[in-house]
Amino acid sequence: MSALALPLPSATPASASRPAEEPVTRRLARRFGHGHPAARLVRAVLALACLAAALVLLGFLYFKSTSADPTVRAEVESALRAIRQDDTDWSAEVLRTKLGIAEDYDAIVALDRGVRARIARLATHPAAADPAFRTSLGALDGAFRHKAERSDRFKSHNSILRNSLRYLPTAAAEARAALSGVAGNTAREADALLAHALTESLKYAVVADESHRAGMQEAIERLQARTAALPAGDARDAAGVFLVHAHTVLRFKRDEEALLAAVTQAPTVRNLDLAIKTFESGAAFAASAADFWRTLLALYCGALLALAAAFAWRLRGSYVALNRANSALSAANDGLEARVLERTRELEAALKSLKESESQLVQSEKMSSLGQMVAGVAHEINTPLAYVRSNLEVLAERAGVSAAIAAHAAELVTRLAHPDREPEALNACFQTLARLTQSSSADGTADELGRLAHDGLHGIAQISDIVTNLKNFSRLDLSKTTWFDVRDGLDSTLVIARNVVKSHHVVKEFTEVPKIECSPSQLNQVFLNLITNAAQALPAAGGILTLRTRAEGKEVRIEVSDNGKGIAPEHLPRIFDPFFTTKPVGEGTGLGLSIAYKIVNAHGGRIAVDSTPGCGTTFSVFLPAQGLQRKAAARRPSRVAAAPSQRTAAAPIPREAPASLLA
Amino acid sequence: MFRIALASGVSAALLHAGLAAGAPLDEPIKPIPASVPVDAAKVALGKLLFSEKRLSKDDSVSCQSCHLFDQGGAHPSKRPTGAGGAVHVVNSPTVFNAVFGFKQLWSGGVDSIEAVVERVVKAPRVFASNWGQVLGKLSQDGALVARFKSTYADGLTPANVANAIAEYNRALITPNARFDKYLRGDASAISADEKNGYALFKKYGCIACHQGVNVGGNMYQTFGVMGDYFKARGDVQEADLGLYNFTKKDADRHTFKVPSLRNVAQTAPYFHDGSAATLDEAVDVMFRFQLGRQASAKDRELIVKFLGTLTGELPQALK
Repeated sequence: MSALALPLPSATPASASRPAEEPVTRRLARRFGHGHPAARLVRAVLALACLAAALVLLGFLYFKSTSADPTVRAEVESALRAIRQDDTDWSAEVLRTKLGIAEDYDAIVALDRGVRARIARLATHPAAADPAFRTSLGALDGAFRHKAERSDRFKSHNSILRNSLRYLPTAAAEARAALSGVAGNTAREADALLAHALTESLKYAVVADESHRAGMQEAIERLQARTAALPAGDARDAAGVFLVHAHTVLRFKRDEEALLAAVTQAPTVRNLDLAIKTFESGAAFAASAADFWRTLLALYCGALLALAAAFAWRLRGSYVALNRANSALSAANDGLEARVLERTRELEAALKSLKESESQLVQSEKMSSLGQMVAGVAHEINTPLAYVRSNLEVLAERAGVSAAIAAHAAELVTRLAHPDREPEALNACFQTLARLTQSSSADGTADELGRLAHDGLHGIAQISDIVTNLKNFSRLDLSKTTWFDVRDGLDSTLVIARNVVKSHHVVKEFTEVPKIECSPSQLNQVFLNLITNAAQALPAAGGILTLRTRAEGKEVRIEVSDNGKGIAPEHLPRIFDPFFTTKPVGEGTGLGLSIAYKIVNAHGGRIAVDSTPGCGTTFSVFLPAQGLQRKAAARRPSRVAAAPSQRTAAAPIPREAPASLLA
Repeated sequence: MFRIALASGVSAALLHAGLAAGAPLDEPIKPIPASVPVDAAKVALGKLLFSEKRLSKDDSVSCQSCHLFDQGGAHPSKRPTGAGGAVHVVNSPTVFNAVFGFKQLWSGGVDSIEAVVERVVKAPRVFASNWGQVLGKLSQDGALVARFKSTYADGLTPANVANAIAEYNRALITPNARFDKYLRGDASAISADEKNGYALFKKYGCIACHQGVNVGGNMYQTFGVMGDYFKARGDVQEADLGLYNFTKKDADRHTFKVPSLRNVAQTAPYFHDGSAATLDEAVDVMFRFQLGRQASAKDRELIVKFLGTLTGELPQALK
């Protein structure tokens, strides 16, 4: 330290030998004289000031380079992931209660409370010091309040609607039984209108569209008019009860559909993504700022070292004291180097933690798309399930009539077989049976039973078709490989993705391809991603989605084409980058294609895209037909085909493809 | 932080009974857990405050005045009397098992029990006081102030008074009802009639709203969804508007929290207006206005028998 307090060596010879060129120095020298105590004091003070400034600057740079804390980032990201999971579970639980799979609402209440508590904890977290992130948390809280409000209304509606729907067939049966005791044409007409209104109501309950709604409304209005003309009594009251419940179904069904949509499509996902993006960009900014300051710190340390070296060079051999001071300075410099080394180590640890975060993010993307897929499939199953249920309910109700006929027939046979037949009892028994069979055949009970059972079986077949494909699609052999026909995978994927492709024309141009050794569930994930992307790019009308397979040399080629809007040339080189998305904030994570790329790459294959704006896009996946070369591929990723034209982009080769991303 | 597991003896007994009997049942109603996590020191302080009359304007009533433990945590009068002899606008709801409620009050208009305490202190027909008055009186009690200091870092404050009472309330659960024993696998815990009553409770659709661990208390419902209850009853008051008084949304007119049916046999009279004197009457009202159908006298009797099995036991230490 004392080295810098020594007299500046350059001043002395200059003022002595070249007086005309160094007027300031000379003036100073003349005033105080060389070695004058006052001049020495001034130099010492100046040098101390310089040293202090240098140290302050060093401290400042060190402080600036330590501001990004990786643990804060990991905590916030894990909390946001947990909220996303709760959000998906919440929507799934609402669907479960709608389908009657869950029979109580405690789970919904618990998820609502859990999400509120997590957001409240995040709001007091150090990361919420960033105003942009705090604002996005406020918006997230608002979105969940909205979801909770809709979900509370859904619960109230669901309970009433389920009760009325369950009761309608019984109410109709009770009213018709009461009507059978009333004579006259009005009662007969009311009876027929009741049967019609029940059928229309059940139809509307299964397919809640406007035409069925209009049909039901008309049926119950006609019944209402006819009921009003009935004489006061049990029959009119019973028909009135049926009408109250039919009106309830009419009123609540449409509301419930809207509420269900509002719950499952609440803006929570959009706000979550926004919060994640806001936090990420804040964290990325802090990290890059810290990087910048670290570079400055390193440069500054280098500069200090250089300065010290210069001093050492100039002073070496001149002063013995300088040598001692010099060694002290280099000791200080060693300390600095150790600090730089320590920062480098911290930097590496932060990089590792970021990599872990990335793999967790990929996992969370998978869970999120799984949640959406489950909701879609639940919707597909819901329709046949609902009419199977209502058919079974009507069947159960009608079974009673058949059982009564059988019982009376058996009784008649017993009486006939009895040695001393009692004519009166026999006659009464015969009359009852005759009345029962007559009313049963007048109702067409037998035909109806057959039709209901047939419809029910058709519904069951539809459900088992969906379930079989779901099972094929998500085989639990995540890590196992097997010989697999990609055409089966494409067919299964089309069933799973029916919700998104059903409004478009799908063309399959499959040619014979050899089976390949691969992980089917991973390839299905790739197909689902490409097909979903293509479907989303298609126009509302006239969209054609084309799937092709063919064998090309030692490769199997799978193409997914659409005639949609295409990809802008400036976006093409980046579409396989993680987090790159052209969708509005909240609609895509930008991970789908990057995961697809990594899966294909791990299979020793490659993926290419050819797109013309306005005409469409074709994604081509090439997979080796000779079995899996996964190990070789993981060690040294195969080169992606060079771009044949400027419109074609090939995926960039990432420096490494961590195995964890594929699990 | 001291966490106590209340009634651990009860849970050991339950475990034993569970081992001796069949497998637990999967029903829309779930048994009450043997204990909930609470802070023992705050519960003890809350227990003191629960019978603290200085919370009311004229030192005449405390929480306990309207929430009697031998009446299922409610009060036998239609509308109980508060400070200065004023009559409440609603019947006393039970304080038992409030921890399982998704919202609080008859209307479900507030989220937390703390918020209920806040409203009770200020309500003109209940305690008719304010925090300035309450703290003025309590702060002269050296022993009480010391209890607050040892329990809360910031001592006697309005928030801590509310929190202590609420924490005591959260501990007031009633596990071990006969129906819960039945749900845990003891088939002989309820009679054949009571089992039939439960089957009817599900068949008629009561279960659509009264489900979950609290047999209700986890959703809203409009009172009079199948018929106009308030028109039939007459004399509509502001309190009859329910949740609307909090949200001012038309859809929430006459909407209330579906009340829990736990200990319902002990909490007569029924509904927010105390209009049904007996459980039979209350079940009739529900059939007419909520289910929109009728039940035979026999079926109603069986359902009332089933409701009797929902009466649980308050942990001894809290009485």
